Amino acid sequence: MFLVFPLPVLTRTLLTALIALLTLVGIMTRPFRWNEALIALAGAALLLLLGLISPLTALQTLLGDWNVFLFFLGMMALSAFADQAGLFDWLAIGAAHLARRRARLLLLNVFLLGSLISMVLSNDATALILTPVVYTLVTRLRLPVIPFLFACTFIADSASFLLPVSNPINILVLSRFQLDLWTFVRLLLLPALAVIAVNIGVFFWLYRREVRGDFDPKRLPSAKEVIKEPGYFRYCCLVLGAVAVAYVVASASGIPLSCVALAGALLLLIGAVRWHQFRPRALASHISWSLFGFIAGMFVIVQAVEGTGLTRLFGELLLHLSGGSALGAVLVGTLGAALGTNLINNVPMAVVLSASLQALHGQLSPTTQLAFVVATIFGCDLGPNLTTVGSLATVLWLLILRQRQLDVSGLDYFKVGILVTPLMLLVGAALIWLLLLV
Amino acid sequence: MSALRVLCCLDGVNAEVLGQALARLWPLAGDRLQVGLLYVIDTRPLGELERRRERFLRPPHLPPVRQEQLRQAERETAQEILQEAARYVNGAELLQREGKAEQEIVRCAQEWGANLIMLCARSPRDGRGPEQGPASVGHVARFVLDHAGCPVLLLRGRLPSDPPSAS
Repeated sequence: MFLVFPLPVLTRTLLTALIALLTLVGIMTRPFRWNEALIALAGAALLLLLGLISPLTALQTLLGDWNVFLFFLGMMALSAFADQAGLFDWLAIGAAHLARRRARLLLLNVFLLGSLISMVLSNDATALILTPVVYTLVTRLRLPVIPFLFACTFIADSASFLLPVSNPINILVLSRFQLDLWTFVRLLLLPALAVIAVNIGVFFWLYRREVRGDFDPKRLPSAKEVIKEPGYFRYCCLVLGAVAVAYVVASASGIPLSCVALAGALLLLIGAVRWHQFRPRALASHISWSLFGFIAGMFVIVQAVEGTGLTRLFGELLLHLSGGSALGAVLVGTLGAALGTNLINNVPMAVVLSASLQALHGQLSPTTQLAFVVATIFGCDLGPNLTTVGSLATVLWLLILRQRQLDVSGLDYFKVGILVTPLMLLVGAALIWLLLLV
Repeated sequence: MSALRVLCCLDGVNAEVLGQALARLWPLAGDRLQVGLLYVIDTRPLGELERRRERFLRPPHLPPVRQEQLRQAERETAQEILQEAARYVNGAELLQREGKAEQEIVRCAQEWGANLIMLCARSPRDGRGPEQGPASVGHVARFVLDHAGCPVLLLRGRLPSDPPSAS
């Protein structure tokens, strides 16, 4: 609209900032429990309608981020097929058998299994698929559910920076910054292992009284019960093994990871059809279509804000706060990302931070830029554990319920998050800084 | 003489403790004693799962197959716990509810017409609080004390050294 009647630059800037701000506040507070995707898309549509971003620029932005969209799709499809094959149930039962009846050993195994799944299939798979599987398992074993539920939800994020594919946020940030696999692993593998160790240690201390004694392995279902089609299950294991190797090769050679994820999903689809295991409805229920709308909306909004130069200002603010040093960049990046992910969500926070850092291109020394990028990945990946429930909006909602004399378990989760996450952030950030110096 | 209806609240590990308490009550009440064994499937962890799904921008409800598996496991475990407890109390009425334990206990006590609610001050498995002194009463027992319409008998429970074996 305003493309026809051009507005002064200042007015355009203010309008764009206002719409972006309202969108973020909307995502943060979710009025009337509206879906975040709707809010993000509404913000983007308003910017387009007012001519604050041209349709061509918006389209170019979305097409330019094809790798992110397709990776999300491939990742969700891979997890869905693996779930249909019974892989998660089989792994959980295996973890229980390896625990040799000991409840504490089972908790440790759940952490290790969650780390493995997060590393290869991303944190979504651990949080969304493994968690209910473990829930069912420990219910059958008559063990306290909460520590195991917490373990799954925490490890999903704590282990989500072992590899670039371990969290879609990593792909999102890396789509703007070329970070080779070696650098990623060099700077983030050790902090990830340390954070996982801290997570396990604190949980063992926190739940030392609740998780104890033995469980009866007779209550465990047999592997045959959970694998409906052994041929497809074996095929699925083979394909996922190949995908894991291909991820590493593709990361090292600069091949888009979405190609690997989609190729793997396609192979699993062929297998599912071959063994009559293809169930479109079940598959569709694992794919979050609104996620694509949410990301698309946020990409367009941030692109519009970039056009006004505001992201550059935000980047300069971050640079100023960091003092231009690597240590400052790690601390400011980690803290800013961690707090931001809890205010809104880690997807928009990662987009905003990446855009702001990209706008500073040339102003930052290579080390400082690397420190900011790695800290952004680290903070956006691990930050959601701070409030566990993911965003401040949910926490506020829980607090309101508490005021009304309703006991809400979410607040217990919040307490654990507040206790564990700052420690993990501190340890991880310190290690990243030390590794940057090496 | 009217019946004494005692509602015993199970948490999965306190059947023995409740059984011992009832054994002491039995000589006093005799034939007037009617016992209800209640087990509540806690739906809060499921609520947390749904919140977690929302964080990942997914619909809150679990896929139907997964939800059914989970609920079946909960129901079977609940039945097992009730049957185990029934071995300590002959002729007890078995009651199963779903929801928040503290609210369901109060509601069930009212509906069942309980004269006395018997529960552990804190689940023997919940090791978060001390066995005596401040904070020795868990949130479930605290809520029941505050809201029950009949007398409440709190027991200091201890976790059995060996978990009940599957039968």
